[in-house]
Amino acid sequence: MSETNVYRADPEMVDQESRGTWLDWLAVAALVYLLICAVGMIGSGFKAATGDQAKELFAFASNPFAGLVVGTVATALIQSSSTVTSIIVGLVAGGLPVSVAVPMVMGANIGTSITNTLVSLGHVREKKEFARAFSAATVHDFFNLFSVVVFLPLEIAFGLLEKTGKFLASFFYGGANVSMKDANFMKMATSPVVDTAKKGLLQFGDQIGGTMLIILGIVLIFVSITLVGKLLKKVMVGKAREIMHTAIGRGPIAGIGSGTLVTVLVQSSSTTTSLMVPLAGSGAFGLKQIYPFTLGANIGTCVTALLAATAVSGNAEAALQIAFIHLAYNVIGVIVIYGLPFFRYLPVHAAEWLGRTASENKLIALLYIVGVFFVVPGLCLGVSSAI
Amino acid sequence: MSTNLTTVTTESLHGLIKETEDTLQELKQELQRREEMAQHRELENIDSHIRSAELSIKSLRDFVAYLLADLRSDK
Repeated sequence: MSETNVYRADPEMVDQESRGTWLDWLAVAALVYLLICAVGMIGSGFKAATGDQAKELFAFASNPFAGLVVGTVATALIQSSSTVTSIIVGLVAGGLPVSVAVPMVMGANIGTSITNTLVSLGHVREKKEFARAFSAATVHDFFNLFSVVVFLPLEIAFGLLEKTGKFLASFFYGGANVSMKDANFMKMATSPVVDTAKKGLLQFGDQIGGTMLIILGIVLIFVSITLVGKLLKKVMVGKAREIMHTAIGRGPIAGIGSGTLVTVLVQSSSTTTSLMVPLAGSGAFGLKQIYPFTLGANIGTCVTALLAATAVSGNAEAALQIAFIHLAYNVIGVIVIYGLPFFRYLPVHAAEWLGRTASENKLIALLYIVGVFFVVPGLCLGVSSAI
Repeated sequence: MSTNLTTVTTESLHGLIKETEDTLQELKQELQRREEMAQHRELENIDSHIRSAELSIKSLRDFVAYLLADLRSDK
């Protein structure tokens, strides 16, 4: 025990690292505020630009496979599921039907797993290290793919997630004594910025001004999430290390919990899952130890969209519903896939096999990435639009 | 070994099994302790791991260059 503690971080050093300067924390607060405002701008812009035609505009994505592909490719290109889910929350607030948005959120989960897979390519020069790193990265891909295979049919058949999200959102909007409808401080705090941007841009007309507001919102979400991620990575690294130290040797539940916490702290599942790649590549952590941490990252990343959904105007209940759907999807996914013994290690076995194969023939790694994240979604989109 | 075992009393066999199981348990615990130590040590390098886990165009370019060199050397 005492020997273990030798390798724990010096508390004083951790304190110095994790505290950050007051300027860092002020910047984090300002960026989170900007993110929430930006989601509000997207909602307002989308509502102004589409009027009551949002459903018709997204008719192409009413096919769930098309929605799934849109979410996957958009996230793979932007490299941030938080950005994409926050944009989706804004669009739902502006009138995008929740049923159309659900597969997009599922796709965002798949798309975000490209980042750590690309990071693992950096280990290509050492065969065994590459096999371990590529497996550690793709276990996230396989979990998210299995999750879609299980839950998309259930969603199409029964609307499982849509109902769950509606149920959870109803606690905040449905007839409670103190409802978010009555007193939404977040909305009150953001409305000066959102209303100013709205007033300024809608002078160009509803359609042009609305579109400009959407673009401004997307840019601001991207910038704020990127900058807040960088800042939090800097100021939270000590705390993340402490959490991970604590989880070692405490089993999978602690792994899932620490993955969730670290992701909430750094506001990026890509950061936490990418961090697993060198830890696994070195051989210190096995794939079965990395796996629960990765699942926690899926859950932790939902906080950003939930936060954003608290301050939108327009169809605010639906916006909160889609944010809860994202959370419910990831939590239920972990419970079902990790909880059921016959499902539990399917992603691990698939990732181990792929890691071994790709370390023998590196071209397979490249073909896998291009195929899973771009070619197959593209083909699905083509087929679904032809039907 | 099997010849010797036939002469060992049942009571001694039980004792040997218990001893072996205890040793096995100790070995497993020691192995786990070492693995966990290695993991704690690895986490101390989390700063450099975070840096190496950042996606860059350079690492992608390096991968493609390595792949091309690998394919050429196979020919």
